[in-house]
Amino acid sequence: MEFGGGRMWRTLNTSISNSQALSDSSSISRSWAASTDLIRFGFRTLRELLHPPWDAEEISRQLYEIGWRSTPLILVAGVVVGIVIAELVWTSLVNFGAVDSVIPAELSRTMFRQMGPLMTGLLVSGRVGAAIGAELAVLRITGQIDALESLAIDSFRHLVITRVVACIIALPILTTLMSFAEIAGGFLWEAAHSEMSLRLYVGRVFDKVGWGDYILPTLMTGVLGFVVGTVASYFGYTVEESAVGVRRASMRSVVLSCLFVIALNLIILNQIMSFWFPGRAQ
Amino acid sequence: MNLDGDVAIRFDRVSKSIGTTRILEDVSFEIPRGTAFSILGRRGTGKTIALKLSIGLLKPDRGRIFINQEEITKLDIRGLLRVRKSTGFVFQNSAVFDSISVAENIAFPLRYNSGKPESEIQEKVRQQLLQVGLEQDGDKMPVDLSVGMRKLLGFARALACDPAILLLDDPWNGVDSITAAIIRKLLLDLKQRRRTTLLIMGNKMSEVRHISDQLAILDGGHMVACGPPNEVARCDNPIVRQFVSQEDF
Repeated sequence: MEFGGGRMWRTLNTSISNSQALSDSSSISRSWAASTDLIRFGFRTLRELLHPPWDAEEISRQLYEIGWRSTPLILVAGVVVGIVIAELVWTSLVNFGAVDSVIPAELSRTMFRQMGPLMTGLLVSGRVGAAIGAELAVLRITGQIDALESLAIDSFRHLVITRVVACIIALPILTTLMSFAEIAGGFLWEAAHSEMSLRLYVGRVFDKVGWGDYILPTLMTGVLGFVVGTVASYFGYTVEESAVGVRRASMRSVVLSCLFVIALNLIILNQIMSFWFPGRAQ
Repeated sequence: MNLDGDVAIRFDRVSKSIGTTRILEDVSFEIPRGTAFSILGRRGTGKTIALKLSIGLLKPDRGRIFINQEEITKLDIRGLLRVRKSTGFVFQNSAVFDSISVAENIAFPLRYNSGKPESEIQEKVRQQLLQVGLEQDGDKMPVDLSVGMRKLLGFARALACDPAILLLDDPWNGVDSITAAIIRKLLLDLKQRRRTTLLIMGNKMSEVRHISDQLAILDGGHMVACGPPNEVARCDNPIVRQFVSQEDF
């Protein structure tokens, strides 16, 4: 009995490990297929972007949805982040014996070069990535994408390219708003802790910040816009399931967009800053 | 097979699988221009797949599909978009654009494809709404319409660009008897006056028998019968007998 039981246990163990191995390999092959699909989708987006004309009316509608309607979120978040960062910068610098006067300059460099692009990218990934993913998924499962195609309208150009273009245009503008909102938040903190006037604060904010600190990182957020728009569109446009698919499309859009934004912020912005401004990268 | 220029749609030994399920197996038929061809089958027999294949929304695994003598299975997206300008598609679930108004749904393909000035587009929209009896509902959103009205809107949108070929996926599905009568009258008018080629998918013989010049029964991925409605009605195949007996043909 013991021998038989042991053999049965081993057989069961073997079959469980076999099924796990099969499940792992199928999961890996699914992930691999999804990754290559996403890359192909990205190249197709890039190719179509290089072939105008684009649908200007739809782009302006998407700019309103993606850009204008994100503005309140960006402004409020910017002010709050500005207050928090000012507090952190003050705590760190005071410990090293720095005086209050250097805080606005350090704050503005952090905002323009790192926090503005990063925070805007993350917030847009959350708000817009989810919206694009869910909207395109609903259009797909209700047959509206097929309906567009049946009416001889290129659904990829009408739905995907317009959203990606809107993201590319909106991100730098929203980043600018975010950076200035953060600086305004910094002033609120400063005003609550010292008697620094607005004129003096503004003067010190721009004291050590050049155009390069603002223009390059802000323009590079156009790349983040391309990535957020493409990733979100991919998950929505290619969904094949029903209501579950909408949930997954929206969730995956947000998760992957956020990861890409963080990674790109780290790689592109840091590398570019150290390349163009070697003395001021750190 | 008739290979002259009078054939609007031709399927040549078309097969299609979804996943591991074989949906269509060596399906062949041709539809002469200006005639109505109906395919009947139970739900899930691949009628919608066949319609989507016929305008390149899906690609067949095997076989060739021709629209107006042009093999669409070889075309890229630009070629397909060009071919689709001569076709209209009425979806089973209507698939109307729910973010724009009823009138805008009809104007949308016209703005993209017709190149007409806005005044002509508005006049065309008015005519289309009048044709399907939705003239009072142009400003409503699709969500405010009943299932039957949405179906009629789907018709009006598909017909906006005056297609030479109209593909219909179960056009009577879920509509009341009055709407069904409107649809029947509309289809007869399209066939007789405008010489529009109709490919109709359905699941009741009574709905299509008065309109169709040819009728086919699809079952298990195969065409089990095909011919004029009266000939098909005499066929001995048990699936065909089921369709006939239910409809007092």
